[in-house]
Amino acid sequence: MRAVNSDIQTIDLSYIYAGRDTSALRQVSLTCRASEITLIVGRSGSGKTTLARCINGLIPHTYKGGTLRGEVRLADESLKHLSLAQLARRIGTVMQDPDRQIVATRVFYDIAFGPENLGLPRDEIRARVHEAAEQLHITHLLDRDTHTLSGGELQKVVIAGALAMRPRALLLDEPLASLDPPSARDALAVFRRLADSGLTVIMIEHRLREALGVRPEHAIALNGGEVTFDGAAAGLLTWLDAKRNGHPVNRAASPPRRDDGDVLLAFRNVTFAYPGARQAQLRGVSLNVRAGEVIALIGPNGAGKSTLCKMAIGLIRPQAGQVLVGGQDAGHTTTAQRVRTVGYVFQNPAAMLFANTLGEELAFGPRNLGLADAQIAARIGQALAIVGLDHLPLDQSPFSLSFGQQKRVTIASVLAMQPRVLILDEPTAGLDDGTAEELLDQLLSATARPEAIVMVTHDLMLARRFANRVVLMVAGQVIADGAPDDVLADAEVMKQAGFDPLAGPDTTHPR
Amino acid sequence: MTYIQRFDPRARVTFYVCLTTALLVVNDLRALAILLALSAAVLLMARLAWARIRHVALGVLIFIVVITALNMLFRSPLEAAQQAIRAAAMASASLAMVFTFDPADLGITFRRMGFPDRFAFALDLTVRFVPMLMRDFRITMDAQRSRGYELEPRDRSLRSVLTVGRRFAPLIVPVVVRTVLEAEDRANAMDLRAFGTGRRTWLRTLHMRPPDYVLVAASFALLASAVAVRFTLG
Repeated sequence: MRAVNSDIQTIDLSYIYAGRDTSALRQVSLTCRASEITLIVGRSGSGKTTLARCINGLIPHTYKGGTLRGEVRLADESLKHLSLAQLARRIGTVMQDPDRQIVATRVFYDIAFGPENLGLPRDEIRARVHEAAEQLHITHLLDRDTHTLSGGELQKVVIAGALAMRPRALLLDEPLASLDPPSARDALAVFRRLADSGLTVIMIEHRLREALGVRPEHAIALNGGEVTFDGAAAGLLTWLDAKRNGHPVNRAASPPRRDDGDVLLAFRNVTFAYPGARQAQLRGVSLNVRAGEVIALIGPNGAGKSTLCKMAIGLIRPQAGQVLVGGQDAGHTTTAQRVRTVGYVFQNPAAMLFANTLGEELAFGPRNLGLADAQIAARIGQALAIVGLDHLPLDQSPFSLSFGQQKRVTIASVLAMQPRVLILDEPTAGLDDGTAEELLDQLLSATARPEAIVMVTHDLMLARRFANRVVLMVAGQVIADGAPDDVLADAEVMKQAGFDPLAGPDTTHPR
Repeated sequence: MTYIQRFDPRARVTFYVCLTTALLVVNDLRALAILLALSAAVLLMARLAWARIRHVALGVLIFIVVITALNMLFRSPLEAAQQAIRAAAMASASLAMVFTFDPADLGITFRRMGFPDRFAFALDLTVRFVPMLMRDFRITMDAQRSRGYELEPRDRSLRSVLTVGRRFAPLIVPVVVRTVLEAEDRANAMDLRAFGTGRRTWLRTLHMRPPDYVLVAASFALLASAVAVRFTLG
């Protein structure tokens, strides 16, 4: 336990970004106590990230020209006049995507990066690297090349890098965003341990249900740059539920699954291994996707989920076995031919968006299919209606939209090709719980939606709420396949995947 | 660790720069042949597994064959021979260099050769950046193909030179936009770890030992001889 008081306090903090006229933060006053985890929640655009930047000093040191009022204090000290280097020794920051925070080719040197920048003596740096690695139980990784690590391992390296600066507080900005459930659970245990050892831990997260697993002492909700909830974490869910009851969410229950729908997509004993890979990505997978099904495809990272989806549209071909699209052997068809039947929406909108206008972006797919302009226009209208964006002008730039809207645009851009099966890779990644549910509600309740939907997801709650069939993959094989309540509650198969089973009825959200 | 990896990376960089410069300076076939033999010896000492360098080596080989054929056709057999030897020697030396150089040494090597911190670190980052760029590019390629995009459409009317630029936009734009956004995150992450705020310690240390000084001296001697050959034999 540290004797020093390391509470972080913001006093009447307001901020307006350069060139904007609305405040991103409005008079935010809050206290995050030492040895506690403070969970900060809020939808996209609520001011969470701006608050984080004010606390770690990126505002005003890196984001210049805005108007900052109020102050941030660490214990009795105002952080106002400290340099970034001084701040970095007090508050460690871990951001969303670990890949973008790694600077060195080897783990040891990456953890050493901060202390090196402080110009500390070499012996001290080495001691700090070892100390931080021990704290996170990653001493076995120190000699590894950073590009060989998994997402969960990378994040621990990033956290170790922050701890090597010996900060008194740790700021985590959406630390769960890129982790699968087993890694996320692991990460939460680390955060808990760090708080228990005396650090002030501030965790910004919109995967609320998972974040509560860290047993935070304190929770703060932001909306429109203002604090709307500040109290014991236990009270947060009650408060949210009370709010939700005022505006009930229409739950688009998936119609029960039928066994007699047309088989739209089928895998027959397919295998696949990337060249040079030690283990095959797919080892004899057989699966039928029928009309009327909403399938949640779940499993830990590396289980082969994405590989299977890529195989569905012919981005990769099976080394043995067969893929049938629309009942026909797809062995000799190209991706461009298959996309008429199977649509695939990639996880990150940034991988797809390229056009100057929304209209052009959405016309891209149908045009590649060789459709006429009139037909394309009709399909665009329909697709936008399904994802709830039909109010947007078609000449708007897709890059000016929020992340959630961009996600909808990418789904619409595939829907405009009117596939019979729609595959969504992590449809809710990067979205807060509310936005994610709204999106799936809208998609599933649309009458013109594709006949079958396959969602690759890490969100088990979502799988239970929206799917009528769950397929669980581990190490390149399907180990469970059935009704959501059966698969998700099966302790044995869930354990094989490294997941905690979801037992009992869905009680987290009143229906 | 191979014999050549025991040298200080600064000495190795010096040798590489001198050798490639010498290759560009001399025209005499006998001198070029000696340099080729030297480069080939270095490549052998690197003891690289064929499977590791196969793709690059085959590419280089095809390149050399094409260049030699073109030189034979449009220039003279002498020039063809000169270019072929030059290319083969450079390829050998470069393969030996690139495939045995520890990327973790890159930054510190250039820092100790007198370049500033920021430049040295930029090199380090570039090593990490290239594979990430390739990965982004592959993902975008897949994402656009899943929207029916084909790099070479069967429709011939789409193949005209004018449409080429537009054909590539769906691949180029997302990768560029993403790279710019990532650069902001990366710069923030480095700022938050106090990069560029003062004099930094480089944890990794380099030590020049007697064999390294010998290599550096030999490298300069090689370059000087090459210049001498150029002015005496042409």
